[in-house]
Amino acid sequence: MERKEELAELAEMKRELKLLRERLDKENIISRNHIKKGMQKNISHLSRYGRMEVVLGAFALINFQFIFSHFGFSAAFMTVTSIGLLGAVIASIIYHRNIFKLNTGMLDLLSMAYELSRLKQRYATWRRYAIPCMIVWIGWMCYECYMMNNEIAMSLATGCLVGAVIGGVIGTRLYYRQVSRIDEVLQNIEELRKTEEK
Amino acid sequence: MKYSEKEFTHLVKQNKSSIYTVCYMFSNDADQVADMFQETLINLWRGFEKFKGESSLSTWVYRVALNTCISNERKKKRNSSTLPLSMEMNLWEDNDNNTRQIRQLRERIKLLAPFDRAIILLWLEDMSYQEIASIVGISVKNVSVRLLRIKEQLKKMSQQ
Repeated sequence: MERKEELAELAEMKRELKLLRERLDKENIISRNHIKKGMQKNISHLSRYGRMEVVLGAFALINFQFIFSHFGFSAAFMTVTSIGLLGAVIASIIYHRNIFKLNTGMLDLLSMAYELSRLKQRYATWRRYAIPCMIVWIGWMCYECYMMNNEIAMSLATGCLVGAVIGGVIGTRLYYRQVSRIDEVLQNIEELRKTEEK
Repeated sequence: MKYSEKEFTHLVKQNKSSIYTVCYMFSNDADQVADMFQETLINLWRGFEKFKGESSLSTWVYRVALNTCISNERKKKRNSSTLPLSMEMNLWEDNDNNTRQIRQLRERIKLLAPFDRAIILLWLEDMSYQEIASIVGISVKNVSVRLLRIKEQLKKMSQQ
């Protein structure tokens, strides 16, 4: 009798395990929640980067005016610098405007993919124009310093050149990191779309 | 033996239920089962290149999954994995009859020691004593003795 009970219990356990296996066999090895968490993290990074750009641009816009006028740079140089910085701030706001609003739980995947692809494209366009503009601007600034012909101006020019090189390296790294984040989210969207199709 | 990424993906797809079952029986919540599942996949990937074909692939998968979960149980630590891989279901919160039965099985198995849990799990999967011995790394005789003790233990538990 005891033996029979024992066998019945073990048979029940086997049946329960079979239930689990049957349920698992139907599942895909992808967790939508995990993917969405990863996507949200990357989108938060992109959004934070956009906000940082806007804040830094605004900070530079206010302070560069003061510094350049203090050192006696030409009005034309200061005006162009201000316009350039203002343009960068506005572009940053426009570029990231929709990214600030992105939320993996609220937007459909296709809209999200569209916004991110657009951001990637805008980054590439920005880079295409910003790098030559920066080179011209730095050259102009060095020329202005050279024309001032004093030790402080030359030190400022050297400092700016070193700063430009370091900034260029950091900026390039940040750019590629941002692009890889966008690519990762786009890949996640593709994976999610595939699981939805199934 | 060289294996490609494609072969590995195929291996994981073929054995996903076995891997998840092992992880489920050794975990306490949905997050932990996802962590264990991912860690098992990492360990499988690391060992895949070195797999010499001494046992069948499914036996090897079981061995890796059990080793990962048992060592995780010993360490009692939560790993912060970044791979977004697991399975989409909630065996902890769903309340249909089947899920309740699955939970009941897990609760009973969880009462056993980790090593005994591994043995009973393999036995419930209808594996031979020989296969169980080769996965857990003990002799066939030892498997039969241990299984007898586990069955007695389970009986006592059900009587309590």
